[in-house]
Amino acid sequence: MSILITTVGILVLIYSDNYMSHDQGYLRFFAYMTLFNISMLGLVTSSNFIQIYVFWELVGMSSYLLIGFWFTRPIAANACQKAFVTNRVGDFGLLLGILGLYWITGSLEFRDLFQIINNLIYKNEVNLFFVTLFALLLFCGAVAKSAQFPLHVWLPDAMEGPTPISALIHAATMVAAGIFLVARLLPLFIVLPAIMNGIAFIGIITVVLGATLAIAQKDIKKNLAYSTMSQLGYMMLALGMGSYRAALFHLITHAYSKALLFLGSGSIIHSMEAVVGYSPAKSQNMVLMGGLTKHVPITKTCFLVGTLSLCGLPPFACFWSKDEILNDSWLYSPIFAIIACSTAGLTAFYMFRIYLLVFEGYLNVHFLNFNGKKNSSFYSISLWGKKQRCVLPGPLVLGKGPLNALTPTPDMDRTVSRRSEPSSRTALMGEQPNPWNILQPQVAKSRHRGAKPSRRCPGTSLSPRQCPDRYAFRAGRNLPDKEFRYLRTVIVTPPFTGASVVGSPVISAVAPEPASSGFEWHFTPNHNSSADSSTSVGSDLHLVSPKLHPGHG
Amino acid sequence: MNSFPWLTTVVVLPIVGGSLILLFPHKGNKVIKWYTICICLMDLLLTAYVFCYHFELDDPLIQLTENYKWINFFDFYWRFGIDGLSLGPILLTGFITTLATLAAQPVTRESQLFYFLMLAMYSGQIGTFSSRDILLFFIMWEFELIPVYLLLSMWGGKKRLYSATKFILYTAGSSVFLLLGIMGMSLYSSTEPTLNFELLTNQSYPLALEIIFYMGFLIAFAVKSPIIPLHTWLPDTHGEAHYSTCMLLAGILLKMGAYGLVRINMELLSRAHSLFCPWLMLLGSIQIIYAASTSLGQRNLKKRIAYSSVSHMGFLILGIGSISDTGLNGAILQIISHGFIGAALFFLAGTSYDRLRLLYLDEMGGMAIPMPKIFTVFTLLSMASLALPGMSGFIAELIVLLGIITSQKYLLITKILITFVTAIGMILTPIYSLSILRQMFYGYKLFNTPNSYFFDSGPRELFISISILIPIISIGIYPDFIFSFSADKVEAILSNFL
Repeated sequence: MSILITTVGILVLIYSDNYMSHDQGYLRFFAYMTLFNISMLGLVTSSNFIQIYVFWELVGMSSYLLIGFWFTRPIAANACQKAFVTNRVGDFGLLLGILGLYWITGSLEFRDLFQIINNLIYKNEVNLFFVTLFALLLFCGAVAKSAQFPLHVWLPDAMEGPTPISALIHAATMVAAGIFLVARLLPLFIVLPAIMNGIAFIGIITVVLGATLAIAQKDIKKNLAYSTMSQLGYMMLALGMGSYRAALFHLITHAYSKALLFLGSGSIIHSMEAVVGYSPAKSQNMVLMGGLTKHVPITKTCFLVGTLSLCGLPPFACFWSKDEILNDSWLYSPIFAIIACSTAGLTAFYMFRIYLLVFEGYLNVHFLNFNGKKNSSFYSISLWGKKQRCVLPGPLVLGKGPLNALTPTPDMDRTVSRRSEPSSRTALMGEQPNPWNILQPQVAKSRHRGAKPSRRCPGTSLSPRQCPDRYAFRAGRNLPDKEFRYLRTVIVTPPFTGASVVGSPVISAVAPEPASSGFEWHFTPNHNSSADSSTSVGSDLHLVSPKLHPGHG
Repeated sequence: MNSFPWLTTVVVLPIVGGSLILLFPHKGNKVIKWYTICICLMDLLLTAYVFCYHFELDDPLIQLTENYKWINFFDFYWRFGIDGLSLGPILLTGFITTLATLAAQPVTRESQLFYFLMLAMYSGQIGTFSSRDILLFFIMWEFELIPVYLLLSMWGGKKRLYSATKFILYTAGSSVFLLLGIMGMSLYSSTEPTLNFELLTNQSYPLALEIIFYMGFLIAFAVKSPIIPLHTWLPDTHGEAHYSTCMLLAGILLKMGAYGLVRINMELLSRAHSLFCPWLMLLGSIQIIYAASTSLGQRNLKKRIAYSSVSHMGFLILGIGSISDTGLNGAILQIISHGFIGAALFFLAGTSYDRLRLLYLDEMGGMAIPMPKIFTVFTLLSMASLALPGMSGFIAELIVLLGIITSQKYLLITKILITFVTAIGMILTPIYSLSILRQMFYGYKLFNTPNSYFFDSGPRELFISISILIPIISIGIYPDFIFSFSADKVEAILSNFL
């Protein structure tokens, strides 16, 4: 378990280095992440109840902080409180269970406690009702943390957090803590058959519920969250059947597969953000995706591997573990086994639903584009591994340059004026599925507030001839923070354009789509002036990166 | 060395220093401010020095005693002395008062009087915690009310007169019961009044009389450390007072009631206490739930925090009611821990009120971006308040719960019920304290205030918050430090009940 935490943890940390690199809270994010890793490692290495409880709470708190990481979003604020309070309901049970067992046995060390309990039950010296009650209360804690049936409500909402968090906490490690706790306490539970049946029952309910809910989701992350819930149900089921080994095996295999899937979905979301806008309702919406195979082949391969693994195809890890669970379930109860097997079919169905919706078919985004500009979004996706496409002729070849060519230095307020070279795209980003370091040529159109129609430039193979005065390019490198993003704007101003023309239209081009989120943008004159000052110089290309204040004018 | 009257010095120093303020010329506030802080700091350091070098922790008896005959006529002594029980609250008083004085720096109106009152309050509180004579206890108890009343009625919010009157009515009304109890106890069974705590400890009364005394003291202390249904003065008072006063109120004043409960009701009236303690437990658990759910319904930020401190005081009553070693130690730890947490929460609420000028939570929002430091500290303190492990609140509440479980006095079913109800409070606490956070800091709402730019907390405010946070976290990690003060004394008290 600690190997799992450290390996997934380090991979997610590497991933999020790039994922969060443009967030204002970069430092804060990593502080929270390491806090989480500390408390998770503490949780799995502790040997008594108080220590477990302490780290259990700390894990919950770091999850709270990370879900609410983008605290300007009201949804995130609600989600993190919901997660914490739901987990607190579980902690309530856990604490009461700990206190009760302490009352019965007078010990908080696991080893002593199990021995005492077993002796007591063997000699029939203890009221079985109380032991069962306290074990049930302990199980409550695991139910809340592992998002099992009655207390699963927080997990889908927890997807408001940044995607690396969903991968690490809400798929791989923290939600597995409940499974881990039950596994650790199995010597206690195993002498209480009623509790074991209850665990298996809760597990099977969660399996079915998670899978059926996952079928109906549009949001890719919520879909994966429900899938996580269903898989956790499998583990609970296995524990309830007493096959401790299968449960932990599935925990580990699932953690790796699901982390892979989540990291892949993070890559997809980032790439979609550049196209459809920054609202989670859009960028995570699978309806708008499709045909991404062409654009994100590496992510596609990773995602496919994860999907196959989760569906339980033989060469992959989850096959072995899930097979073991299903096998054991036949021995346990045929009804449960039938349900579990058919749900395994459902798993394959919803996982391939995600996969097909995202990667196959055609990109559905432009169906939304009713302004006669069908191609722009489509072509605007720069492709990783595809040939470079000249956006602008002449010296202004803006391709997918190396990461830093168009990414301003951390002080984003500065206006960088640079003449971009035809970049040698050696942007090797390793395994990180983060290929969207692109310039998305967005014609200087504004979909709202008083844009002149002439500013729209049809077509995507843009050239200055077609758009004579200027273009505002949104450098569509992943702007991870959906509301605190710095909009990097490339404004191309031909020499003959004076400063007078450049005032508000540029700004409105910088403005995001009005419907992109419930977030209000306030463009105050100081942004205007920064844009003015940057564009008044008649140079060929300006990289304007106004730092948008997130809502407080 | 013991001949030097250390405690008298500690008690008298603030008020003497405070009366010197009134002689200061009207030159400006700066001199007075720093003078007051120096006095507080000197007193705190003096206390720490005395406790370090002239106090032995492993001795459960009263130490540093001083006996001076004051009024010959009825045998009234100026009698001080401390033991492990009063050690923690005295240090807490010094600490919180010093920080509150530092926090009160924005007060400019009639600052001479203000600082004098702060120092007078300081004297009164230390006097209460360290007196060994029951009449002296009463005098100090009353002496400390007057500054609170004045601080409330002169520097409070809009409804300050109303809440000050309410406060004085409640507390003065309860003092009548206190005085009656004291008179009854001292005049019983002898022609000479006995006012000494030591002598009173060994006295025994008929059960009926003891119960009557107990009721009297209980009412007096129930008003002070609010026990429902006598808590209603507290939200009003805390809602209106200036935040430095609030720090003192929440940090120290409430603890005086709990201290009195332990000191008089448990130590002197142990038979009646063992009769009453099931009801205290019941009251305590109801109070935790009731105040926590009332807190949810409050719109006013300060009132919400006030109700949260009422809810936390419920744990204290539970600890006192569970007549067990662990429970009582937990209660004493809760005195200290809530002293820090409550004071810090009120301080932060006050500082953010200074910036926003908004009282109601539903008008706030999105403050995290302009004020990240306050946001961070507020988050940490809310976590401490909802008993996150690693903070002092968690240890205190856990130990109180363990105390209930291990208490030998109660029936099993009572224990289970009380623990269950108390643990429900554990679910309610994060709901209200995280709601405060969510409503104040999360989101992006623009303020509809005239001045829409805010300053984050400056170095002074940051210093205060951090110096309160340090003990909170260090107690949470190493609570034995506080237990080492009180463990022996607690055993001594509990030996009365066996």
